[in-house]
Amino acid sequence: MIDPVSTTIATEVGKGVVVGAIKRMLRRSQHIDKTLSEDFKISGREMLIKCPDSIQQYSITFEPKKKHILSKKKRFKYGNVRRVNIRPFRSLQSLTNAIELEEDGFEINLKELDSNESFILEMEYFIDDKRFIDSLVNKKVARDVPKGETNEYWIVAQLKHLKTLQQDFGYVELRDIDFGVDVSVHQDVKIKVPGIFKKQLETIVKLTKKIGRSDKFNLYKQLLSQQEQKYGGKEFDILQDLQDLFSPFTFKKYVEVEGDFYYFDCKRGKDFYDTLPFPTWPKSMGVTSRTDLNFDKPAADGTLIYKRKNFLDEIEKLF
Amino acid sequence: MKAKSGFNLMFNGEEIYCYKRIEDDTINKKLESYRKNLSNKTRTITTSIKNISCIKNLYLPEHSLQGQDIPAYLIWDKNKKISIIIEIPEGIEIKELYNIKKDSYEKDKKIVIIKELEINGYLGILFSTKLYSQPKIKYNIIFRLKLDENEYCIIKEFDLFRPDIKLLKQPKRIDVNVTKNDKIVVNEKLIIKNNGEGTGVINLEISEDSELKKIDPNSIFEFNRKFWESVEKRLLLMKEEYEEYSNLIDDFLEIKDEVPQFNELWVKKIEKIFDSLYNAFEDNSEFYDDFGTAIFSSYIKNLTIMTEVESFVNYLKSIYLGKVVFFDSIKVIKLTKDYKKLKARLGVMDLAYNNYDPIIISDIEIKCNKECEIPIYTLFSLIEDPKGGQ
Repeated sequence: MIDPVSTTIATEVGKGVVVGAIKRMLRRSQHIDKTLSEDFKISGREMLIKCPDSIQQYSITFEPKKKHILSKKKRFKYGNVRRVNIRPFRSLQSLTNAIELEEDGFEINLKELDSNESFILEMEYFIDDKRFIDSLVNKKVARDVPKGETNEYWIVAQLKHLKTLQQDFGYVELRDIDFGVDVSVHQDVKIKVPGIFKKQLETIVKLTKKIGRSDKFNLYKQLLSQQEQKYGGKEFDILQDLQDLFSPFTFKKYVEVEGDFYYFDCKRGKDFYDTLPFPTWPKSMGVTSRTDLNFDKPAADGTLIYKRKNFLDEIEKLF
Repeated sequence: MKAKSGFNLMFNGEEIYCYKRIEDDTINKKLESYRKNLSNKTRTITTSIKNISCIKNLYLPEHSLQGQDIPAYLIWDKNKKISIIIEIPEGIEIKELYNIKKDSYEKDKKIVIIKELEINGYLGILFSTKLYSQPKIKYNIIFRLKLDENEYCIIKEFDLFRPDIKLLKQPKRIDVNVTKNDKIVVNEKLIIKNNGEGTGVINLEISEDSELKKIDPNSIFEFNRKFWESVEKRLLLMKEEYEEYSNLIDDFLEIKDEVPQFNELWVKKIEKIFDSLYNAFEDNSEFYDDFGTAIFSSYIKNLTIMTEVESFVNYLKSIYLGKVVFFDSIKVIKLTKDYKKLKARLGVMDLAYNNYDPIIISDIEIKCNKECEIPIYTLFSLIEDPKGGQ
């Protein structure tokens, strides 16, 4: 046998937070089940965690126990509900009149329910502990990629406490877990901007500085001769087109997400290297990808590919 | 006494001596003991994961920045019992294990035996790495999976890289000449090279007793001053209307007086303020609208198109084609006709905010043919590795 451990490996990181939060969610579900089962027979239950907004979605399918439903209201005062929806199985149309939101929950007006129907009740509650998702899922992404080889950033999601998802009624599922990758773009504009265009811009900038009359005259002359060159007079349009390349709508064309993840969104990266209060030119683009995890899929891996060559080609087209 | 033998394994069609690097006799004894416990019929097969039908996935990234935690996981058929041993090279540690019963593992420096899982079919692992003396280092992690009568040996290889910024040349004196056309000519530059594969973020950290200081360029300084003045005025008025966000507004306004720090703590602090703002925007759309209007109108009011063009020109000039990014690239130093001393060092950080030993720069005397402001990056030149560049 091997000796007992020398240095420890963490095996229970964040378990208390997860167990506590799931316990609270289950307690609420059990109360809902109990109240509903006074008049109805519950046939199925499902619990989802909508990760981006940290929301617990609890769904129950049920049918009336008796042939006619008593014309009364059923109260579910188990916390502020974010959204609640009841639908009959056959039509799947929401019975909006059957639900009334209250301060600490909601009530169902039973007279709106047909006693010959089966129903789906869906409720959404905010998860109170902000640490819940991070305590349950280990999220890792490549922070940089090695030089000269690849523009592929790995993304990995791992459940830390799989067992906590296993409950009496089935399994808790996690949907749309967010992952942010900073894709470096800092060199790409530089590579494709022609020197002559840079010189034209420099002249324009110099003209705005406080300089002597003769210097200003010389610069004007220089600018006039530059205006006859390739990009003369189009400088600001080109700058605008360049900025547009970094808009989420355009940049997403140069990003592909493979594996267990899917592309969700992108935005200009947080450029903390420049401490200007206005957006200038991004050194990175922040790309968000998402994945789902559940009891049968406790981990996921994927790759975010930055199609750099295509992006460089697009910049080149502007000049 | 050193171990005399290890296990010979087939790897890529070649027989390799798997335990060559294990020199500690105690560990070899432990491995021998483990092997004796295996049935006599057990065969060791070095293979790829594709050849073991019940294994759904064994994932480990192929590369990572040094100092970053690396995730790995193994998923297999829930109905199959397998025993798992992980062999880790020196310099790598297992930091966290997921889905095992509390402390249900045995560990030595180089091997970890997984004893009992909470739910069969999944094991999550988080390896920790550190900053190594070599800028690029290749490691193997060996997963030994005992299944039925076979022991499968899967070798996963990965690279750990980092930036490696070197100062190759530094002049004692620099003469700057601003030509009639306002072109800045620097006679000698500080020459740097990134020998590593990771991006290096560099920052010229100027000592308090340096005669030359790092400042905002005039146009940006003016913009900053006017922008923050206008923002402050508008946000202070908002504090009365949105009392619940009063502290958050104060935190945001504090940014204007802060000198940006070249470390993770500062980045995290700024991130925290922006995250809190984001949450507040989510909760209260009116606050979002008013805050946005305050910032946007202050921005538009003070920004001239020239600030934008100037920032683009600076952006282009400050970017090197190697994997080097200048922190605070917009800053300048103010030069005079007399030599003034620059006392500074070069801070180096990577994209995971790991800080490296700063590069010491001996005092440099710098003068210019006329009083002027020059961007800091003009003092530097980067030598590129011919193989480099993404």
